[in-house]
Amino acid sequence: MSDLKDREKKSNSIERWVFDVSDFVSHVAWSYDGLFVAVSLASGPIRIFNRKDGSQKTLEGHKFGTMEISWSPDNSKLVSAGQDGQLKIWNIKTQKILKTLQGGVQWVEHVSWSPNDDFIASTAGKILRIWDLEGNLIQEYKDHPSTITAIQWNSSGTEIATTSYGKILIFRVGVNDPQTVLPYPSSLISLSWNLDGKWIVAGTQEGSMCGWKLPHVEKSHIDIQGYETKVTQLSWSKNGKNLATAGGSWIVVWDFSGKGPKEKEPEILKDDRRITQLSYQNQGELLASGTKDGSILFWRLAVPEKPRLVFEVDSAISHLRWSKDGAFLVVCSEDGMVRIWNSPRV
Amino acid sequence: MSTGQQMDTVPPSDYRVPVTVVTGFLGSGKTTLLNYILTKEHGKRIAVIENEFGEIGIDNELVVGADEEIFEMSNGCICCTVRGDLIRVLGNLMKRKDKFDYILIETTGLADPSPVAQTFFVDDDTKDSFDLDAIVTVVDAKHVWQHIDDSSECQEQIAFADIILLNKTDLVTATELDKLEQKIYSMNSMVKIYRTQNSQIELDKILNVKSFDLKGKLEFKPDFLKEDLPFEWIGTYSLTNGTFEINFDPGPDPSINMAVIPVNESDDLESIKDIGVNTFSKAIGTYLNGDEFTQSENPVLLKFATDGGGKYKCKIDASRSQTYAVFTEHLPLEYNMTISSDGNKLEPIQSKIYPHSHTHDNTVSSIGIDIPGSVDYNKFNEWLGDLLRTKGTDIFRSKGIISIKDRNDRIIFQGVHMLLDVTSDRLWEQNEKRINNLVFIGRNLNREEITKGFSSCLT
Repeated sequence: MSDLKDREKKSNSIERWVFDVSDFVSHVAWSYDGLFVAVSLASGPIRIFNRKDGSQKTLEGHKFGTMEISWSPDNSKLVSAGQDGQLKIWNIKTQKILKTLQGGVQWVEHVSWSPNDDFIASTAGKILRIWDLEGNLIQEYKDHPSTITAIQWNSSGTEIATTSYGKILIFRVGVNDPQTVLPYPSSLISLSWNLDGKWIVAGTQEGSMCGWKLPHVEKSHIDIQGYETKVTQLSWSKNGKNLATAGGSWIVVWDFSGKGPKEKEPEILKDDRRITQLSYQNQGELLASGTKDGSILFWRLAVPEKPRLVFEVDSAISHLRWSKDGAFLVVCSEDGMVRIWNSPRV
Repeated sequence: MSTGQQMDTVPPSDYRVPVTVVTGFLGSGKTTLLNYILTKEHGKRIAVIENEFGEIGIDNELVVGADEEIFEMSNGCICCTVRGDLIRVLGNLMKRKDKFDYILIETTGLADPSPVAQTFFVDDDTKDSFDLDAIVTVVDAKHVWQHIDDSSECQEQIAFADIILLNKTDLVTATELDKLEQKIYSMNSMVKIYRTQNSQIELDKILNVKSFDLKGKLEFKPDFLKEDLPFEWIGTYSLTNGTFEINFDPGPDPSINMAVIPVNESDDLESIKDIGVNTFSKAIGTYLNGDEFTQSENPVLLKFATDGGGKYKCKIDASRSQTYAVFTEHLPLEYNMTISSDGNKLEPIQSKIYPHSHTHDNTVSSIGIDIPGSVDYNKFNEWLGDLLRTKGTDIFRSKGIISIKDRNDRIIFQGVHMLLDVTSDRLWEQNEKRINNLVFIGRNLNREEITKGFSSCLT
């Protein structure tokens, strides 16, 4: 690692904007057009930053704290979930609430606007709810074995997957009971569907990962053990071929082309910093990782031996997200700084 | 994760938020305690995570309800079992801008404390941000007897506790409290017991006590129960010259050994105890119901009438002293024993219960080791590792101070099931006696085997 020092740079060269939100960021989301970054804060407010001119707006958010946010595909609205038990749909232009939905009794933990712009899914504890955009509850499933830890729509917005203790469940919109049950005997804490919806994977509390190729789930089950710690990070490459995973300080990249990662050696990107965030560039080759000690590392799979670039900020990286076109990256750190960077040239 | 693993070194505790876990059966006074803390610590930012939605609400804005979610691991390793709800809720609480000064977790009355404690050692994010300060168990002094012998939850909550509040003491007698206290010490010799009413206690006794901090003070009562005393109770009485009557109602046995011995008024019970042990080793005079005997250096065997009870007269030689120690083989409570003089019932000045260390299978007990000398480090490591690997499911908690051969520092350890945290402590002082103190709390523990195993590590 002796030559790594030369690569460590101040981020001035790529930094576009720095915002001090003086609060812990609970969630981050890029608008579909890549023009805005929405950042929800643990104390409640939601800040919206214009990537082009650095202008900003503030939405009131939720009493007690906002937990997650999700953009509408037309970039005009945002839905937020809060610790006040509510979901709120916001008009970005006017900053006004369009609708308030009762999303739960206590914390509404996850929310996601469907990519086809038809539905909003939310979870509170063990309950999954799907709403239409008028705010009508169209389905509800209460029987998850534990609090739902993650949700994700498929790319067409017709199905939604959840993770909880011991299983991934996949629901079709309009049908209350899950159509697919993928059991794995551990606490599932992260979830990712690749772009074409074929592979679905989940990370666990005890340092393992499981996955299935749909619809032939019997034959395609994968079970990968041996991570240093819980697997919180799962990120697909732009073509859905590679899956970058992390639980500890190494990034493990699995090749999911063809029949999947079975009997293939993964690419291991070794570093000694504990990884908190992992994000593959959409439309590009870069993989960005954020660490506990405040480093942001850029990797290229073609050269896996060492990171291509390393930048450092003052505190642990809490969020790292590429814009949809891969041209920008938002980096949030636990000291309440939100940075918008240009994609570095490497 | 494998068994016998070492806990990672935790980061400096200065920025971690302390957490106190409050356990206890429904109705024991947990919620009252939480409300009491919140009132007394008014002004501090205290978050409460509540698993049990009792009838009495908690009066605080920062209460988060969470269903108990136990995450067992696919490898079946009990020490990896964590509480998913705590990981999630604590993770979210950490994001609050102004953070918290303190976190209280109230578990349900039936909660198993192991996964709660293990969450603070196994989950990285939780470990980084929070510091498990102590497990406080609230015990209903009147009703706990209904559960203490057969409810494993009740036993585990007592065994895991760093601090026990014997609550509702106004509802029971001092003797019953003594008996309960001794019962609890027999299960958990590391615990600190405080007697409370309405869960009221000085907060510095239960908050920020750093029970899991190895650098903190390790306190032991390893001597407790090592000796098998021939009596279960001592009481001291102030008696005047003459005769007094001792009455027994029917009890579990048809006879009882007792001794009445003059002592000095200023003697404490610990020193009297030794006199009692010597006395009980001597010859015994046998007396039947209605007999009169003289206070003497020897114990007497009192045989009861066929209906079970008995009345005796004891003559006092007042030339010696006016304070007498009465030693009884069984608890006076079991026979409703009374001592009276001229028809006036006498109360003991001091009394203490010394329960027998009956070893019942399946019950929770504490094993204390208190052996002078130094051990071979490798042998000790191997023995402890092996013990926790094979018995880790049954050993709830362990703590110890060890003297290693050729090392000048004391080695201290503590464990929760198979998770073990070992560190170097201060240096042994020059004239300090090298001694090893270990305590194991758990179920089905074999005292002889553990003591023997440890002794084999001595050099």
